[in-house]
Amino acid sequence: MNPVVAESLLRGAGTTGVIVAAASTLAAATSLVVALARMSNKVLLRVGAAIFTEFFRGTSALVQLFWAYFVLPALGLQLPAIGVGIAVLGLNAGAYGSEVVRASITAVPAGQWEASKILGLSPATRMGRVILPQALRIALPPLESLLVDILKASALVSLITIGDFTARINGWATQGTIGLTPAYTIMLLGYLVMSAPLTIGMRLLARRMNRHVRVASQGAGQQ
Amino acid sequence: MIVEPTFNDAERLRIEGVSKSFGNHQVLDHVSLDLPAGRRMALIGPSGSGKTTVLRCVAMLEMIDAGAIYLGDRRISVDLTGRTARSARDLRSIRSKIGMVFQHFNLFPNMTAIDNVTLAPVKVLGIEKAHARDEGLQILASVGLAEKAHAYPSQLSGGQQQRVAIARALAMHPSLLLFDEVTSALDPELVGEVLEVVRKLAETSPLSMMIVTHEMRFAADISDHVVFMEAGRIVEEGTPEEVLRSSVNERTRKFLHRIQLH
Amino acid sequence: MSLRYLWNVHSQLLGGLRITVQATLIGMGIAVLLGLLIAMIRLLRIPVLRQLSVGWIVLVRNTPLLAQLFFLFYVLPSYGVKLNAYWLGTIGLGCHYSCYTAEAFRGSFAAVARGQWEAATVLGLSWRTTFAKVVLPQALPAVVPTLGNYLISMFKDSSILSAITVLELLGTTQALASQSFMYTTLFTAMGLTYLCIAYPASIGVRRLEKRLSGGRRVA
Repeated sequence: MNPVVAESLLRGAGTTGVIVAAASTLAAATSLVVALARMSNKVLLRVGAAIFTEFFRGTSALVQLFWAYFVLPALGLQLPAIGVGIAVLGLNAGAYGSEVVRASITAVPAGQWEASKILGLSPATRMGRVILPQALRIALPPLESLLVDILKASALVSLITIGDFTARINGWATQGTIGLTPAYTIMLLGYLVMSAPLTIGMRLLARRMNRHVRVASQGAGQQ
Repeated sequence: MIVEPTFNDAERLRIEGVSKSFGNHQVLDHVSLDLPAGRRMALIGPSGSGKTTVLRCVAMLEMIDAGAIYLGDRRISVDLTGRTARSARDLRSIRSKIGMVFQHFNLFPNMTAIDNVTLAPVKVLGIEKAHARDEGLQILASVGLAEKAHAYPSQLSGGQQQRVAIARALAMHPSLLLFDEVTSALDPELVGEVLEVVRKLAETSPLSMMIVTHEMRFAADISDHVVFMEAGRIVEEGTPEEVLRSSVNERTRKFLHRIQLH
Repeated sequence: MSLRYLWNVHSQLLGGLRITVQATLIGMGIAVLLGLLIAMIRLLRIPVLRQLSVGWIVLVRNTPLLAQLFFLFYVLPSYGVKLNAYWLGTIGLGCHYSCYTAEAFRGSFAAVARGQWEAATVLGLSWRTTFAKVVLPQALPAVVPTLGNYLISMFKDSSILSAITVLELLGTTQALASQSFMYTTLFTAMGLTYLCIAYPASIGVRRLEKRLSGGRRVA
């Protein structure tokens, strides 16, 4: 393959990687904040979180990207395209992630809450040292698919002029430098390859978090 | 018209030297039992003793590692070699001779009681639908559930569901009926109605029965032969009088004592 | 925001919405049928097909829908496939989601208690009868809410078809905007349209889910 093309594709993959990393970080933070807000006893926080979640889940990431890219500047908010991409992908994934985090927090056995209360742990300690670590362990499998979803959604930023992996291949293919069949086969394979470290990474993390867990946990859980 | 099954030595159940392990755990260790046609055998013992596994091997729900099980002169046990050597028709004819009632009933929740009872006779025995229905209603009446024929399992109590399960097994006219702790999953006040049905069945029908149970008085009343198992082996066997009332075996007595304390 | 402008173009926007809905419904039909087929292949463990379907699922689930649509749109025509963009897109959408529906079906089959299979086995019922009369009637109601959620997702994802020149709602909106520059009006209206359909639908599915799980107990 033409070295110029190869270098360009690698740069594209690099851009994709940066976008995925940044969006995932934003998504993680958003998920946690929104999940906790959703479960708080302050009505305003609960409603705000619910609106946020339903809003981002009610339209597709592409629609949100286009809206942000075209409408925000008209409203006075001028962001570089890549900023728009990262923000939208991150918040969108954060909305879905908040549901996962919420479900995993409620899945932590009731006994854990009770024991922490009786021991007199402050809410912050209770959440931070007891509940969340256990919830995170439960949440890992769905979070793994969410991470891969962020990678897949990142391809959409090629449609708002960001030079990611998809955009580069499209560019070279339309110019005729690469044939159509090889181009789009490489595109598919490229994403497969990029998803591998994400999946493996999450599995390793899961294994590490499960190392203290014995086989049949007796969760007093949902009764 | 209820078809009476015919009995002779072709319906004798013989379990010979059967062993089975689940992974590293040996569940059955050279178990041998003999159940002549028309007789009733009770299997008792602590949980994990293998008594349910014996039943499941006879029902061909489990493979065995060694030994053999015969119904009459036909080998019915399933092991690694015999697995592929049987024709579908063969399997069907063996299956129709053996019925089973499960601890958790396993009624089909998407069908009414009468549909549960008639599904297999129609599909497997090829009995005509209307005829199967008439017979099914009679059998449901015999277990005291004539008026519940069109109820769904979710509308029936545990005891009623189990009686429907018995009716479902009877509708296939088996020569051997297996009972796997059929009252263990029931609330105490519902146990009696099910035991009553089985007692009546024992009195009025010539079926062979193999009953795994924790109900000792029931076992004493209904069976000709009691087998006490522990850790995959037969510890003692004999008449109800010998095993349940005047056993001299220390392990049997220990077990019975523990059960009595409930 | 110009409501008058919206009124002027509303028939075109509705035309785009119509394409969106059509593509979604047909795509869902494909996804359900193909997904059921794949789930059965895996259940029956048919030798070659089984490995192929697992490989297919891995490929489709780990690559972007956009990349899959590009592949269908750009590569297939060079091999003689003469379908237009709408059909390529709809089929692509259906095939993509068939991997998810296949997993949903597989899960619902597995959720039918083992005791059901055992009771049917001891009664002598054939595998076919057991599956058709005992397993499927119990598995299908359980899978409907999940399929409902996928339908809603597909409705939203249909917007990606605009990238391969299909004039569904997003594509139509883009085309109008590039001519009139009424970006704010158009894109906001489009976003609200998606929201006003997807949000009530998801509430409906949630309610359906509650009703189905509170209802008949599965043994």
